[in-house]
Amino acid sequence: MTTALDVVQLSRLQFGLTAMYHFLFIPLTLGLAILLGIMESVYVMTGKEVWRQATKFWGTLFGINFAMGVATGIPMEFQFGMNWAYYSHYVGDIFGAPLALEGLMAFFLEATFVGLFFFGWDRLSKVAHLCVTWLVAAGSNLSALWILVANGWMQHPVGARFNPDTMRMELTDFGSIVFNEVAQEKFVHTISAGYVTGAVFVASVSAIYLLLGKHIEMARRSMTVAVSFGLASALSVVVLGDASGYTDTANQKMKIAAIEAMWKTEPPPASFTLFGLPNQAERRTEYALRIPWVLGLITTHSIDEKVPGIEELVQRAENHIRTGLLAYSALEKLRADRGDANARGELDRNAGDLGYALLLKAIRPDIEHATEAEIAKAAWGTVPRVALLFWAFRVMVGLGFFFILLFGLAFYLVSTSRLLRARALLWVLAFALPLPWIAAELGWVVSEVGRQPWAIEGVLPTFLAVSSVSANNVLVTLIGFIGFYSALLIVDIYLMVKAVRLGPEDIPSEPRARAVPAAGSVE
Amino acid sequence: MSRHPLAREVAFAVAVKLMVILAAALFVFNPGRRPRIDAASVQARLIGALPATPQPRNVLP
Repeated sequence: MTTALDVVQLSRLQFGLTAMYHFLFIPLTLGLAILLGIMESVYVMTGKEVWRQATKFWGTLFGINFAMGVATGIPMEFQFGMNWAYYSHYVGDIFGAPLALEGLMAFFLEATFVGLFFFGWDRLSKVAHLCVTWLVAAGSNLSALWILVANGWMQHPVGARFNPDTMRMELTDFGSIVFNEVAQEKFVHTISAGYVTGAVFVASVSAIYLLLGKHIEMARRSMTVAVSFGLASALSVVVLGDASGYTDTANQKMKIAAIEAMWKTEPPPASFTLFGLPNQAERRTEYALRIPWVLGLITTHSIDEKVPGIEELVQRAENHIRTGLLAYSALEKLRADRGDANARGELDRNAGDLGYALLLKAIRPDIEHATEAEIAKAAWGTVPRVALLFWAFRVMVGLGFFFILLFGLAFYLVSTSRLLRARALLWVLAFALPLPWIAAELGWVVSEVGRQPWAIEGVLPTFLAVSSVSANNVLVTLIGFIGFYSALLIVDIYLMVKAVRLGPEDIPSEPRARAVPAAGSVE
Repeated sequence: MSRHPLAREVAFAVAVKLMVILAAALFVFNPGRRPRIDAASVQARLIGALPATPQPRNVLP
């Protein structure tokens, strides 16, 4: 493992695994923080101790998750400097700002209020503590906003321009980066997925308690909050996911075409492939089961707008490469003579496609002499892994609809005070525990694999973003991270299970509360 | 949380985790070990010939 090819793959694998591990903690933090706020609000409004008990119990699980998850994202920052040094130089001027703000939000705002949440129960008034709990929720959501602003820029780079003198992208409009439509869509979709994760977690643990006949009063109330919040969140995830797909149709057409394994452009409205086996080598989808109109309606919200297929997009990429070569040629002239005004003007006109020309670097070093066949080959390199995207997307969406069904049914049974008798559904809720994490991780697979071969969409190819470091060094740190994160995960699960087994603190009113028969009412 | 039966275990786990991350920062990812990239090295990479051209994956066709 000593070739540059391996450095790219290993660096991607290392970053992907680190990010996916880090994201095991984030959705639960986002979801539980809001649920804590809801439960404590009910406590403050009703004064019933069982709600304080519930808030403190779920707060303990939130605390374990937060403690285990905090700082697990820091190794990604290490990797930016070590494995992605060219990336860091090329786009660090833009990427660094939201990343720094995310760090400030996570480490100062969020962590400060998490501390007050745990140590303030007997030191703050009820209302002051409630404010702290909601500020914990706001802090965690705000830190998520900034990291998704950074990621959204990688998907849809706006508010920046290439400076040939510094050889980097430079910030021109911070506002357009913050209000980047891709970032905003990703933010609301991701936090909604986090809310679903929190709701499934609370519902699953509550279902286990109800099945075992333990902590009935707290579990019953927690279940009521979880299924209500979960239903609203699951509906939001699907609606906002649709909005995200609509945005991607405008900005990341290849990603959409690859997700749909849509090789050729169809007359509008395009059909949706419900099932199929994409064959990338032969550029076709075997055993395709198509539903007419659906893809066109979902992705364009119209019946007369076409969704370009992969082959058409590859043709467009060829044109981008040719234009990019003009920018590349101008850049070479500027290298020889910084004062060449004509070259600077040529570069300004075509700089948007410079990244496409750089794709040719994967094929030959002297790209200005690329042949038509090499340009075509580089253009086909803009197609991500179709089969992986096709199935990751379908499993994610399938789980999204499953959550709506599950929470919808549970909400109906809670509303009609029949959930405690529906033991089959309680078992389903209990076993649904890992599903939101699977959906969330698959969502990131769709987002990030779908962006390939770009580190920054249309600007910087991934293979040019990696550092010139030894593959063995990356391999050693990769093995170290796998060992470290696996150990952390085992400790996290051990602590979570132990906390669930210990259950909530007893409250004086609990024996009296057990006599309350209503299964679905919120007190 | 401070009086919770799990508080000591959580604190211990966090301490060990932070020590591992700190050790990684000091001994593996310290600034001295990071590649130094400037405008000239980016220019050499993008415009100059790449000595060992990496490829992201098998491009089609």
